[in-house]
Amino acid sequence: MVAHKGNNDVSDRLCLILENLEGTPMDQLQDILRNLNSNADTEEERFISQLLKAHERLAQTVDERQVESKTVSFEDGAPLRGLVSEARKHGLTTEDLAERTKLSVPLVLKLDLRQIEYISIPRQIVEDIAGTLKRSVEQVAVYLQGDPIRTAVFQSHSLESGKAPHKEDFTEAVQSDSSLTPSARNRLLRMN
Amino acid sequence: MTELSPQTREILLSLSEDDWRGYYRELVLYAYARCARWLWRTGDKQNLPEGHSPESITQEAVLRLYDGTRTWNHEQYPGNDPVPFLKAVIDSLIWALLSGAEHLRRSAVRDPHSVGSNSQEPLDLDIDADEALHHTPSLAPDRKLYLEDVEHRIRMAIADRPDLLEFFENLLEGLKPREISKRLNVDVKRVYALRKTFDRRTDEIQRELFGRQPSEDTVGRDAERVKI
Repeated sequence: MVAHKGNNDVSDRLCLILENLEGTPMDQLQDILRNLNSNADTEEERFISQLLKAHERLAQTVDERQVESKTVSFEDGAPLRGLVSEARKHGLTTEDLAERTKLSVPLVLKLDLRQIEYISIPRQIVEDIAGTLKRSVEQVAVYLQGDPIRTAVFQSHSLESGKAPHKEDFTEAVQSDSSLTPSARNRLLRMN
Repeated sequence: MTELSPQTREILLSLSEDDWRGYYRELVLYAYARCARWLWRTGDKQNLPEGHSPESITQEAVLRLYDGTRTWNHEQYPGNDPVPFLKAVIDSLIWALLSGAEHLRRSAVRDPHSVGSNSQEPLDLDIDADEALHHTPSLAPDRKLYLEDVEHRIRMAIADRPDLLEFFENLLEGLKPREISKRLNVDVKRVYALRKTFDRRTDEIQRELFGRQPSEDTVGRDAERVKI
């Protein structure tokens, strides 16, 4: 704030009589004020009532925000649009999601693209994903049961074979995943 | 209403009515001092332009904090006490008000070197008002003599009390009550007691120096916010 220490101007000096009242008891401040303005009390009361209204409005805004926040939670009931994108909303990378669900990144990506047959996915995996994404198991299950998301590679394979996009079996996907350690692979295979 | 930062909102919601009464009084008194300083220098005897008062300026500053018009920079003004930030807002509002064209036109007649010379530019409320306040015109000789006489009269009013004189000297150095208590090596309550006696002894002089005339008050004025 304004530092007047050492200022020699007489107007500055005299103003300091009123400028540094920090910590002075309220009643004492009121006395000083009353001396300068005979209507100080009335003006203060009027302002305080105005301020209380502003305060109420602010508190109301906060309440509304909390309601909105609950609404957002309610909106979380909306269908998932992707596992990876949902993880990002929670500040998680694909790697984070893989680590928390004890999966590999390739497996997470395959699940994200719905390239794994839902019926072959262990229930525990679905629950772990739901827990990490703070979604219900049902929401994750509904997502995973959707049609495969067509990526360029996935689509070209389908076109070449002339068949409808094929969904991989979970066991198959685990066995072919070279990024998994033997113990991780065994653990995932034992889940089924 | 402009968006308040979560920190500002949290602090404001934690403040009680009593907190605000204390802050308000301290801020209004600060505004009295700052307005007086400006008016002494810009040539007007007492009147703020457009019927404003230290009270209306303080109220405007607080409401602008609440409605988000003025953003509390918590890095520059840390802590939960809004007073330091609001003092800066008050300075800014006074600057905006007193550098207004009408006021400056009048003061420029009296002082060609006043800030009025470049005052026709649009007002910027985010300017460094403190910096601006230090570029105000110097005191006119008669005003300087008058204020020196006031200071002398204050000294005379407490001349029989060395403790009050010592307190006054510290006050004139810009020390806060707690700083004065440290320097004098006394409890801060003793400083408040000295202040009380000082105010009682000098109340007439202070009223003459800073006080408002009853006709200037804003009682009865429309309760709507005064736009500065």
